[in-house]
Amino acid sequence: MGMHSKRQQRKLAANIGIVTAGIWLILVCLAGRYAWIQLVQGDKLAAWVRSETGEQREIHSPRGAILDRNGRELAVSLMTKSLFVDPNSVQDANDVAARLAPLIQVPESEILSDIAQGGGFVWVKHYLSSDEAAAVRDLIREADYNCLGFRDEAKRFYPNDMLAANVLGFVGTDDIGLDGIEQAYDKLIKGSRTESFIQTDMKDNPIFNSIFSRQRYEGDRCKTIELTLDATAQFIVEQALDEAMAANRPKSITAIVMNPKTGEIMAMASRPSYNPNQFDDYKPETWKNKAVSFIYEPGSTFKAVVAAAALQERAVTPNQVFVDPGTVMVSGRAIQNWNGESFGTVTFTDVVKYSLNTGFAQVGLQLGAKQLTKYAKLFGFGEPTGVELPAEESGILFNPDEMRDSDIATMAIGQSIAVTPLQLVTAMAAIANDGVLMKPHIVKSVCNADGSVYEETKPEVIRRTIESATDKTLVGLLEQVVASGGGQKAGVRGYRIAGKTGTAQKIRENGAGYMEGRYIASFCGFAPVEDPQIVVYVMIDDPSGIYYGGQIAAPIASEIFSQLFRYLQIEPSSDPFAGMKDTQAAGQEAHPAVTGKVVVPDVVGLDASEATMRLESAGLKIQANGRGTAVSQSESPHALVEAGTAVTVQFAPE
Amino acid sequence: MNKRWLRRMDFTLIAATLAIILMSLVIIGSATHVNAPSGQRYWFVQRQGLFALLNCALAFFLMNFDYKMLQRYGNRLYIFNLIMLLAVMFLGHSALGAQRWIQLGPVTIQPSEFSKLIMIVSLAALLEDKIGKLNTVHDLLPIAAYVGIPFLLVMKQPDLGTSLVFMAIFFGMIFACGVNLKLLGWIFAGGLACLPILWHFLKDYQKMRIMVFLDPNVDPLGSGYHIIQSKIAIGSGMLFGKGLFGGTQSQLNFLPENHTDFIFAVVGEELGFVGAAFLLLLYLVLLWRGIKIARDASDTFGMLLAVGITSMLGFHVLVNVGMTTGIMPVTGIPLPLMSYGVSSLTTNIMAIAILLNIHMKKQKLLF
Repeated sequence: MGMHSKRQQRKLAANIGIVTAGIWLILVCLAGRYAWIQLVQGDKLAAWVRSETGEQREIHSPRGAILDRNGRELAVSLMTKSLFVDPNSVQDANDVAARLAPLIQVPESEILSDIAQGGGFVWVKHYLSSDEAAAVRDLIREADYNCLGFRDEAKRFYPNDMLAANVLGFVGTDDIGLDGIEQAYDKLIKGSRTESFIQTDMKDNPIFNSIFSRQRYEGDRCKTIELTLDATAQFIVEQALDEAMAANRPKSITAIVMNPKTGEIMAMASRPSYNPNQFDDYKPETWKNKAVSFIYEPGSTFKAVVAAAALQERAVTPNQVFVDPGTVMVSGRAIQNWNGESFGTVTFTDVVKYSLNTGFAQVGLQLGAKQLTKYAKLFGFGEPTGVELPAEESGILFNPDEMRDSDIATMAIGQSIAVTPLQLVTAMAAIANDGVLMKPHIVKSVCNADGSVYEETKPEVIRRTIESATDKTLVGLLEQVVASGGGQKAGVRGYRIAGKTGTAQKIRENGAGYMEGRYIASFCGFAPVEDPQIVVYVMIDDPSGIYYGGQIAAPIASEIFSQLFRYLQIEPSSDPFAGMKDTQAAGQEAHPAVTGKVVVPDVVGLDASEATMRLESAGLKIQANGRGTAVSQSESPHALVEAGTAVTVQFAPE
Repeated sequence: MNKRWLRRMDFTLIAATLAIILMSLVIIGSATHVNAPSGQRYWFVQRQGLFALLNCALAFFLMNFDYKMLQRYGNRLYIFNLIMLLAVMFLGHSALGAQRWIQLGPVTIQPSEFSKLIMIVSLAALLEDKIGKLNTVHDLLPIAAYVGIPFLLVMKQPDLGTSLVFMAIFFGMIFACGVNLKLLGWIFAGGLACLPILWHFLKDYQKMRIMVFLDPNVDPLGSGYHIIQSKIAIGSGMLFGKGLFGGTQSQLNFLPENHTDFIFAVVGEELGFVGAAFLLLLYLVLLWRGIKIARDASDTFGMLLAVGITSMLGFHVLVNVGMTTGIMPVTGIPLPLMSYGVSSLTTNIMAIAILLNIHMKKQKLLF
């Protein structure tokens, strides 16, 4: 290295000096640019971030659940994912449709037409199942589709399908209850939609309760309805109705079970019914709750009320003798017994027992229009009962001043008057309840999300209808009906049951006269007579073949009675069967058999006894492993499984 | 260990380098812990950390050699470079729309990263005796061709970012060599004139990037998305940032490539102006030491080598930070020592190792 090299090095060093200046300048520029973005434009850009990482969105909290009296879910809302497409960012519509279609079971052509709608948001499918949602999520990730996205939507789900459908009603689009309890309590249980600023990620998923957001998911803010219905009793009743539908092929059947002491409706069902999960697939007439909206001429079941009036007004005594001519003519109209024959000389007890029309016509005429109507009203006829169900009818009563003798006579045998099934069962409940009319109700309580009671229905006395002594006499007569009269087929061995059957000709839809060969067969009764616990009502509309209430409605009631006695652990009363008590008690399970699908409770964190209790009360079996507190369960919480499924719960010491 | 040997180390440079690497690990951790491969939250950090350690060890070992021997291998290295770049074309696998990577056992390497450093060594060897002798087109043409071949190969991958780095290295080094400034002016003018022709050779996405650079809002959800996201991430960080792991844009997937090319936006969002300024300061120290080492080098080869390395690092910082703040078009240029990427990390640590080596051999007279 000589002078030459040294000179070169100096030259180089000088040039490097210039480069240095350049680098300084660049760094200053960068820092300046940086400061500009961060310190000057920062606020504006931060606002942009807020608008992007979050949005003013409706928080859709699900609709409140409807439970039976033991807390079993009859209607629940589950948060599901609904899929939408953003047509603006679709790159290859055919590709998207072809790959998406098989995953969500929607025809390709439908997806293509969704995309063809254009714009930035079109629903593809509502309420994806969790498997579908997972498959679509995978597809989105794999194919990098940013044109597809999910929104949370609450879907109403009826885990027991048809069970109590006519009581529950259903929910239409936009979370509007369209029938039944869903409609009546729509405002209270409606899922709340609160506008709120929610932090979201790139894929628009809301982020709750993270380091980014203190916000909690407030999905369970709404109220829960607890019905007086007992899902098991309801199931028993519906099963009996299904059998009767097959046996009698009627137009419809309606049944109600009520607690006479409180007016609580334990079961209320109609057939044909529908599955509220797919209500659209059924005819709208199946949606109706006939128990409150159907009016008909009750026929002989109404005679219980006429007998009550006659006994209370001292118009008759049980042993009063009647001469039954077989037919009586009242202002030109012939009133016959059910078989058209004469029973000869009978007591009033026999008149009730055999439901003799001639006898009741005479009693009715003796009482007169005013008295008959007064008692009908006392027992709650002619006005809605006020139960917590929509579309309740009030029935029809004549104006007593306009009643001719023939009207009075026919009213005394349960015609010329229109009632709803619920009115009739409520009146019979009053007879069972020592003559005290209770207001029927089906909602036990409304609870807040935290479990506290928002509203509770207390048993409500409406009025005393007849004196207690009169009532006892009447109950005695009605017991005869089941013990040895027209209602024998409603009997259950070992139990004292009182009741009345009825067979009425169907009135024409336009009200002009009766339809030949069309009948409504019914039975309404209660048990056990010494301490009435349940009132059972069965009405068969237009059966095929045999149409007498005592022949077809009473056996159904008997079936319901006997199963409910067992379920409710009501002991038999007659001595000859005293030995049964023990055997039956021994055979009784601690928890009633539950059928259909049930919702698995969350037992993680509970101890063994509490977990067992929770699962068993939900109708599930428990398979416990280990000791301590539950750490996992084989069926995930809130899943739907068949009742009786064994859930394996793993316990571990804390 | 030899005490003198230690005394000759440039501790300022080492400190700045290690500080940047540490900061990089923290930020990569923050940017990737949400979206890391299943279960392994800190997969990226662990991998980057492991390679940083291996490279530092290797660099330490390389201190035993003299950088001057590199001069003899200039042409052989150049050939090796060409072979490597050709290999990518035939053996490489594509990702993100370009063929830039070669799978080598558990690691995917990006040869164009290494080729930058090799280019610097080869070019320094070539220019070593040409200082002050670059006055005519005739002088310059062979050198331009020398750089032009690997430049075109990289361009072909396509890797516009790296090919631009080649140009930066080329201009940085010929400028240091005292190229005739008039000539340089003519070249720039010629280049500008050729731009419309060059435009034709650009891929559609590259054209789009330039369009978007001019106005990000032409395609806010497509090509412009990156710039907008990056800008608002940085901007929303403001003075002190949102805190580590607290950047909404980075954590919630709004900002793509947040652990590689756009890592500076994460720094801006989570550590704010203070953090970003500190990082820029570290780069300033790095570049300042690079220039100082170049000046004080004991021979022209060392000087040129240091200039090339400093040009490369400086250009990377300029383009990357410029890109994240929206004053440069989006080109895939990583932030040296910060961005996740094994090849880039290795190249940069090796480059700094060379700087340290040059520093060690400086003016022995003083000792």
